[in-house]
Amino acid sequence: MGSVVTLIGLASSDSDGTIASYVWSQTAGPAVTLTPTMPSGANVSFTAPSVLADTVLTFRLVVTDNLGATSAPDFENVTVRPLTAGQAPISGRITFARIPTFRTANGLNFAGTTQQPARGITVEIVNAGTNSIVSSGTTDSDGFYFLIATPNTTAFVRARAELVKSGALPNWNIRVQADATISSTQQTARGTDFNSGSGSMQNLAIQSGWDTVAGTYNSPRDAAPFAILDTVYRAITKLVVLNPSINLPNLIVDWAPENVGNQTFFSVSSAGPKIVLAGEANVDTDEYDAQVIAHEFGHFIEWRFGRSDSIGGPHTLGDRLDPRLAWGEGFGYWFAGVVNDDTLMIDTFGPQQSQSGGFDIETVFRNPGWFSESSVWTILWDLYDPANDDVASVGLAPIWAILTGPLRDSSAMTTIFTFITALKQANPGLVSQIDSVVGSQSIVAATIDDFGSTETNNAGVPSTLPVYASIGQGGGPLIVPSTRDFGTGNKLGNRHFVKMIVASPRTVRITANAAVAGQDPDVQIFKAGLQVISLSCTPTPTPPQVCGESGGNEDFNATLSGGTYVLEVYECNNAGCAGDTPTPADTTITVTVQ
Amino acid sequence: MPNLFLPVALALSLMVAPATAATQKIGKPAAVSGMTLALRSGEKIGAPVDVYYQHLAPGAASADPSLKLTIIPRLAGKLSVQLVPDSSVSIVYGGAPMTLQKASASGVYNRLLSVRRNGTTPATIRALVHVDLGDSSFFSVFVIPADAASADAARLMKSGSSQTVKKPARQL
Repeated sequence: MGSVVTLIGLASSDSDGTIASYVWSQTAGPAVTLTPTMPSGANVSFTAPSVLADTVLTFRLVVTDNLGATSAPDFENVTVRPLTAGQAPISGRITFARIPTFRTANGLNFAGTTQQPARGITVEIVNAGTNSIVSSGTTDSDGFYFLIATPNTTAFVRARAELVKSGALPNWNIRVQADATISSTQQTARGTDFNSGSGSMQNLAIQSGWDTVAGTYNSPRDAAPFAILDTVYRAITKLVVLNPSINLPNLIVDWAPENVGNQTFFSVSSAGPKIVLAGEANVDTDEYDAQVIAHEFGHFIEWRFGRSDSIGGPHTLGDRLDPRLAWGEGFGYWFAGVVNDDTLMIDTFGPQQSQSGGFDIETVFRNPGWFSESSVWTILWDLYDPANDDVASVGLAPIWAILTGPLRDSSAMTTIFTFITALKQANPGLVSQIDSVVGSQSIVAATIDDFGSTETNNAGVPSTLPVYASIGQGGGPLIVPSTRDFGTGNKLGNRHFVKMIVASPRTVRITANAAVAGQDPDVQIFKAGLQVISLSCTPTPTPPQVCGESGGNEDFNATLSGGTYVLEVYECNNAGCAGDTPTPADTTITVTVQ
Repeated sequence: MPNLFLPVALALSLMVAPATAATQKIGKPAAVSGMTLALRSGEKIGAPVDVYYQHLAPGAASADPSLKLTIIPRLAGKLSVQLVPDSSVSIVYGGAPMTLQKASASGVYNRLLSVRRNGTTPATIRALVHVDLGDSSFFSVFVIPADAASADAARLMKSGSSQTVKKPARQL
């Protein structure tokens, strides 16, 4: 008894539209009050009544879609058990300080701070004398918790900055902790000591640490990890609608006040996936920048459920980028817009967190084309946009189906080409709408294919096309450009793709020779996005026998199974390799396959 | 759209058009010949600018070395530049010590700063650069060696790592 119970209807779905309303009602058992009351939300809660024996309460859910159609009722039974002797029920609400961002001014709006429910986080009752955990559980969608403590004991409530759901799917395990090089401790917030008596209510309001008078953080920034998790929670609720059985791999979110400003990114190592968020006050803090958090979480989702071939690296509006990077970053900003139901991307920074960068993914783009992250976010948003203020309205589910289906298996790299090609194939009735949206970003749409073979937008530099050159056994010499027209590292033209079809398993000899002595051509071989062999000889690759570099040139034997491969060919300095002596320069690389 | 502008604090020394032509190569403009391109810190979408610096020897034995700083926008917009305070470096501009600089420009930003190191270990200056494009705005942090010795140390570190780090790490 006394426990707050939440009934979750969010996993309801409609095959030809969206769920417009939910109606929960009780059909059996002692009467309880469902909150919120009518109109019901997707999720409702009630406080379990006092009972003397196990008692079943039954609830009924009916949903109505956007066309007015009503579902058959679904029923849920909840068993309430009585407390036993020696138990002290402790309940309460965990909230965190949410500092909103200004939308029409700059920076964080400290005066607008509100306490928001810490949803889905782990909460513990800890014995204050022994520091041992007495009981633990999870807050509901309104931040409420119910736990059992030992009577008449001094204890405190501890909130852990983690979202953990195990057992029946959906599952997730996302923790905010300081980087191992700092303290490797998980972020927590501690309440004050109390005597459990025969039971009590213990709320915990986690504070931001901001001193409004002094205009600085002068106490621990305890709310920050919970603000981060709140954005992640919001993302998960969207994903559960798309996939009620979603199973997220463990994710560490590395945040601490010591995290250097502007050092925010997603990466994957042997230790697993990790999001790092900036925490440096007066330079760049990201804990309240929901769009930045959702963007990085989008990279995690793309990595787990879709496929990312992005090479990462710095990028700015207007850059002509490697198309894999353009796709990945554009996807990330679109995903952030979906998660937050907001097209305005705000990133606060500066002294006293008083400044902002920002752009609207529905309206802001520069230098459009297949190499532009802003074209990707514009196209994706226009295709998704439920407001339907443009010609297309594909919706979220069809986009998700492509991201998690055909895009994973494409022989070509993940770019706007692969996504649009698959989307058109899966939605033949929407082809004209899709073409209109894609064409508005200076991308050839009507004849688009995975490899962009009919693309005509060369960004003003003829050597950027074709997007993929082709070579077969006995092919070549093929002259491949590696240029720096738009910068180096991850920009359009630094690297060039070559499509290679291997009809049956065999060993091929691949050579790549620089046009100028002293330059360093490299070749990577990919199959469906997976790097099969790196033909870069510094450091010596494994197995070492594939390395045949001589004076910077490459000469390799590679044993390959049948299928379509992509060779990524580049001059190493143009591609941002560290330490090579030649400075970046436009050049060509001669490739042969025997 | 947030109004991202800070008051103009310092006058411009040079105005030019940004490099926006589609076929214009992103290389070193003549105005920054002899200067070094500063490293952009971080992987978030950043300010469309290029930051160059050059360390100059002091004009007199008792003077501090100087740092020439030039910021060139890639897209037309208004620049705002701040230097992140650091206890290891004192920066002087116009004869006055500064812990926080703000300056705005609508073209190229040029400054000649006096830099005094408060210690012997290599130090860096971080420049927070913000660009307002009218319909959007972006910021980046650029890392600049505080003096020639720090720049030499950075070059040695880069050279020393070249045998083991050839491919840039993937961070998204």
